Amino acid sequence: MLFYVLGLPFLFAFLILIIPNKSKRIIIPISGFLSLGHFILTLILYLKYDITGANFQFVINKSWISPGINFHIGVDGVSLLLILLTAFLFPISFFASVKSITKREKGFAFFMFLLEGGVIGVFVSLNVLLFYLFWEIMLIPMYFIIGVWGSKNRIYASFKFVLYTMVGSLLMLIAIIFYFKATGGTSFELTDWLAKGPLSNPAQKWLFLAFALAFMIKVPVFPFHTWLPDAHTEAPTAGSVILAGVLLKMGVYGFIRFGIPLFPDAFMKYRESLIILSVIGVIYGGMMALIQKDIKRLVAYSSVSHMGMIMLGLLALNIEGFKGSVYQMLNHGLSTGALFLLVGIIYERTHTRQISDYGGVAKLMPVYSAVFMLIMFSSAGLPGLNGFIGEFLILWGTFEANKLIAVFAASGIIIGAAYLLWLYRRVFNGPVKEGLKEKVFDLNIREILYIVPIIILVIWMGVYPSTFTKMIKIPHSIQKHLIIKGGVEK
Amino acid sequence: MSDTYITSLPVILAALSGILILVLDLFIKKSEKIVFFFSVLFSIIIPLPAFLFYGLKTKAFSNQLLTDNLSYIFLILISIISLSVILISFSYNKRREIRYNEFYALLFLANAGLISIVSSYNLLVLFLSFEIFSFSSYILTGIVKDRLSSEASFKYIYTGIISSSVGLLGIAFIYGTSGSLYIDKIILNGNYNLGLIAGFILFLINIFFKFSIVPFHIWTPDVYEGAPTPVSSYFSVAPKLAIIIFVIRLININFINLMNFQTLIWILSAATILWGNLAALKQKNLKRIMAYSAIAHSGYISMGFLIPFDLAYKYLIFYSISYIFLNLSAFTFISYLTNGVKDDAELENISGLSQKKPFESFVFTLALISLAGFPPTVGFFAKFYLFIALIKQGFLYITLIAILGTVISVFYYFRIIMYLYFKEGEKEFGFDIWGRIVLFFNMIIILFLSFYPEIIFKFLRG
Repeated sequence: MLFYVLGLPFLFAFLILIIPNKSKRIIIPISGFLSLGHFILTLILYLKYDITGANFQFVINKSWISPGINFHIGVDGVSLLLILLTAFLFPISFFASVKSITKREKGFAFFMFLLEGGVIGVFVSLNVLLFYLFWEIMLIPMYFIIGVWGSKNRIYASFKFVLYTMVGSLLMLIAIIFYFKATGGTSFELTDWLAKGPLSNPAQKWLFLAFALAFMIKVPVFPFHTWLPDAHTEAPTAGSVILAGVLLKMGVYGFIRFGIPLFPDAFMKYRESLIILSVIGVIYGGMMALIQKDIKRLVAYSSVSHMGMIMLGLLALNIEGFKGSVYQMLNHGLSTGALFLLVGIIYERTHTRQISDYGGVAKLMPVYSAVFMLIMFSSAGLPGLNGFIGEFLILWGTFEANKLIAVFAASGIIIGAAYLLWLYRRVFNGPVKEGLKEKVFDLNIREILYIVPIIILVIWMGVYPSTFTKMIKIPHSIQKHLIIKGGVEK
Repeated sequence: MSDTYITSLPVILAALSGILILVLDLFIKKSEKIVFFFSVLFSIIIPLPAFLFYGLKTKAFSNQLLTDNLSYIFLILISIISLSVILISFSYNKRREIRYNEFYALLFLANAGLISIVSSYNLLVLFLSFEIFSFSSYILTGIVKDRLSSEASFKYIYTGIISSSVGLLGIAFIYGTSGSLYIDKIILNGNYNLGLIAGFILFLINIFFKFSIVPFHIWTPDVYEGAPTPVSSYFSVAPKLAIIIFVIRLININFINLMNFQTLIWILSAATILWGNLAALKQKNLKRIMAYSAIAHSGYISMGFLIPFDLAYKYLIFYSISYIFLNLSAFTFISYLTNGVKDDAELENISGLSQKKPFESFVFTLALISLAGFPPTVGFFAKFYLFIALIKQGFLYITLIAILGTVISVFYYFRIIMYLYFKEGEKEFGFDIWGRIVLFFNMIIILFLSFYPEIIFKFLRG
């Protein structure tokens, strides 16, 4: 079952290539329905998942390449939720791209499916080198998605994206090989490595730094975030949605699955510095979002701020923080993804992203404005919507770990409300800007259809979070090494 | 058949093919298609001994020549290389008005030289084999009658002759101090005086020159640019492969450790990786970019000379095989970038070519991504195995330098892809059926090896 969830996107990628060029108009809708089918398959996987069951489920373990590179996959609650998020966002991105992708549709669908396969591969791999392979696979499709279908400054942005990620991941590769040698040079299996216990210093310290750098670039933690605003801004809507929605989560997931369990002592040593960097990210991201003139860039910087919050929840190292962190990953995927979709919708009509070109949109597009307001509140953490639950849990966890940091983090949330509300005021309220009236029209059926599922989830996750929180358990590999203060499930 | 025949059969076959093709032209008018047909036929016949005698170890001419599994692996690979060069040069020669029989005859003679390098066990035979290859390659470089090609050939001859004479001087030193021309005997003798070490260094300089190791690489970009593109493609893989096999033989007798050459190799390969990758950044011509990329890959491969035999045997051959197919695909693509009678491989010319030639561009891109070492392509596994072996031996710093080089290489490999896919352009280039076939088979092999790299090790184990 899990094998099909992982393999289908790759199969779809090559199926798409068979469609003749004459009927290229239908390629993206077809891809949308294919990935919708894939999402349904993922839902079945989710329903079959046994919450009370063992740590990893649906495990497949086959030897593949010597030395010790096994095709070893499996999911636990955290990775299953992230896979669900991935499979949920892809059909939406496809349907959002029907009108906006007007050239080389086949290539677009091909790369999107490769990307989906790579991302799911990252979340299911239990072999460190397999994880690395998938981690790198998604780089190439993203490079093409930004570079071919992006906006004006796309070449620079795509280059920067590849280069940043490449530096981090190559150092991680060396660290992986070094770890492999240190554990006897026979296996890349995560379980084998964990069974051997953590390495001695200073090797553990250096290897942790190499891993952490790769993950921090991906998250991105301040000061490694500079690729993100460019990549997000220049990518096409679907690319931004996927980038914000799932790709950034891979970094945090890397810390959860590999960073902390493999290097517990080094992690504890650098925890404080990571906390400080994350808090800086929360506030700095928010501040930068305040002063942006480009809507998409604003949302991109808000991502930096939110990802800082997610890191804080993880670094608090208690049950609330952990749950909040994973929950907030889902929220961020939904609300930031939706924000990018909405920005994309209005960009398709006006072909401008400058805030100053807008004004009074609420009068022209009432439905759109209502949807935008809802998503905005979800992103700002209004009680009753999903963002609140995540941020509340994170702040609770952080408060238990360090009160001062929690105060700073909370101020980040206030800044978040500020830039979003200010954005709303400038774009939607006030007098209608000249020339806007001829261009814009309200949401059409297609757009409503792909936005509504997100809205339903946003409300559901805000009112009844335990559907998802009950899936989130701290993996044994983390619990074993670290003292988790406070909380219910000690 | 006696050992003598079995041992010398590959060399004889290759040389005979060259001579036959040269003679063919005397009797048949308008012989282009016939020459092409026979060249293809011969390059299918030449590797046959490998399939017949694989696993056999034979010596001939009082141990001056030997053949073993390494030679047979080489024989198969060199035939694949020359076959694809022959196929892509069919239309290339027509476009650039190159005489078919001379071209193919010289190619087979160069092959004979290389096969003989791999089989030679005696320093003098080795030197002569190198010269057979070199003289054919000097002419192949200058076979087109234009300024760039003649200039390249001229540079190649001069630098080549200098390096050969330095190598010959080295052999004289070695013979003078040890009284033998058999490397294993000299090494096992254990008498390492200054003259011997100096002799080996001079001898290695010649090898480094042919392998384009910095600082002996200066000829490479000019020759690759000026030579007909199929010939550049041949130069970028065939002689390197021969030298790799020769060095694996040296590693087998622990040559590098006994002579204390680790530091020398270490420094030279670090310099080669860095210089090759950095210099490629500034290039605007695809052939020159690929030349510097070839230099950088020489650096990666020469790192592999530091690892012990059992690992080097597996991983270096794996690296060479992946490198051969990647480079052949890239050069096959480039060799169709001609404009009338001239090469037109400027980077700007391929702007937006992916829209007109999706399949060809795809294979080219696959090769470039793989050369840059991106997983899960075969190029990644090649580097990965090399890094594993190096870190196992404790060579951490050189591995980090290689990583740095890989990061730099992303710049120029991806810049080519950027032109191919992200830009718009008008130029168009035609591909003939042979080029498509070569690209198709390369693609199949690259994809197959990417997902099942294990097969090469299975084959090497026998």
